Amino acid sequence: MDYIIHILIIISIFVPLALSLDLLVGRTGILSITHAGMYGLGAYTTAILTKTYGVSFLTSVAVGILVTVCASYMLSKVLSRLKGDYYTLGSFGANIILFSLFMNLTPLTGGPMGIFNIPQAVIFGIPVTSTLAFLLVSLVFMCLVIIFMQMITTSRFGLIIQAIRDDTLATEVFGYNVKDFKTVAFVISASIASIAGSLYSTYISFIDPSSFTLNESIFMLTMIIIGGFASKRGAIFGAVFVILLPELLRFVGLPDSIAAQLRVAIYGAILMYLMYKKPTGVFGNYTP
Amino acid sequence: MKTYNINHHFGGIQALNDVSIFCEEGKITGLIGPNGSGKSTLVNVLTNVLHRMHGKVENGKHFARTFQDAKLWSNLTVLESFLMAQKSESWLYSIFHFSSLEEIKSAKEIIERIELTHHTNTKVRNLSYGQRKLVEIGRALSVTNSQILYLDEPFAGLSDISTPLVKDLILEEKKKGKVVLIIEHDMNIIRTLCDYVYVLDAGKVIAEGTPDECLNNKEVKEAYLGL
Repeated sequence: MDYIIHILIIISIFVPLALSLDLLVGRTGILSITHAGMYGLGAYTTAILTKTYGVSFLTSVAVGILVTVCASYMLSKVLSRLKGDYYTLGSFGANIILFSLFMNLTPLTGGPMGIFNIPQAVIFGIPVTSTLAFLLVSLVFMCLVIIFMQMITTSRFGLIIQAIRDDTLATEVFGYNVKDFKTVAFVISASIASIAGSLYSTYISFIDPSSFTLNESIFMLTMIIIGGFASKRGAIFGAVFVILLPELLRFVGLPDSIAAQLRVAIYGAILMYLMYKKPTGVFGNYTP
Repeated sequence: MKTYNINHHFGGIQALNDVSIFCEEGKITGLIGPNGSGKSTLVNVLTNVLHRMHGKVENGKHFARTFQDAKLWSNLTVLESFLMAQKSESWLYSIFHFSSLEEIKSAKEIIERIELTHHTNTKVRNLSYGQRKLVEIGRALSVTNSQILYLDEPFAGLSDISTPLVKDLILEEKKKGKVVLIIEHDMNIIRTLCDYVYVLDAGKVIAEGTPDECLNNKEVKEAYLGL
């Protein structure tokens, strides 16, 4: 039972990550590979504040959001000077910089050893001690993000960012400040990733830089590629599918070393199949 | 709308050379000239797509335009495109802005006028070339507070059925007192629609006047009509 609850918790953390990345990549058309870095900022902020400074969980989440808003705002301003593939390469570099900071700011982040014994969350005075209670918290978070995404994508903001993706020049000519909208989409997306990171660190109670590498960003990107861009159903499906796939492989009875390699091979095969047969992904509404 | 001595160049090519034009409210001004004469460049400068290098523009704050090659939001529906065009807004306001019934009604009225009612919820990418041209014109008409309408070859690619429809729409905008500047190659359309015409050649205004005056001008005949 604990195993199923664990999987559900991981899914409920990764669904918001996929949805928030889709806001940026699928809806706004910004191919960013720095989502794991933003996720890491939230995770490290919560870990450092709750463990070292004894700050409450919710306060640490709020500070994590603040840190991520500042970092993503500055990063977006820098990246906005780049276009197309160069933007993606810039975001690629940003993830590497964040990873290097997590790895080398040893007095703060614990360096490669990471931070362990991160305190369990206490929400409104109630300690979240059992995994079932944590599942409830993470499910509430996931549902709130789904509702928020539903709201924002059906609002005028949702239309505008899609218009920017389809034709930036036309959107500018109609009076919209494209740079502002891109920055806000980036900041919103990063903030949701930050909250997911805070939840992750307090749930696992141990974090190290390996959870926030470039590979993690690509892993998140894989979710929305499989599910399909600009689709909430797609992002949810992609996250569930990519999380469950290696778990299902456990029951095939392959030795662990082969299962790990097989997982990568299967991801690759699915991506190639989708690129060939269904470039919009399973539920996608948009082909980049 | 007035421009004074507008200049623009692409590298060593002088695209606009001291172009001064004046477009009156409630009048349709035509802009004609051979390919590469600077017509679209002038509209691009006036709508801030290109930065003017020299000269002065007295332009209304609110304008709408169409492009020579339709630039549409291909993954939005026709209705969504028109709603988007109605009024620009800040990111903060837009997050809490859900289209009101009045806004939807107003957008649907324009969709009806361009006779695309049965495509209201069709994604623009799924429309034919002619229908997309109509969407672009309708989108420009959707801008609620525009004072100036720039139309870059709006009749190109339109069927014989759609052409009179678009003519009527443009005349309606004229009646509303808007400034209308239209780039067009079809001289019959220029004659029937425009009140005043500027002729551009190699980035310079070579003639101006009523359509008949311009089309009978010797220099225009040589430069543009090849007569």
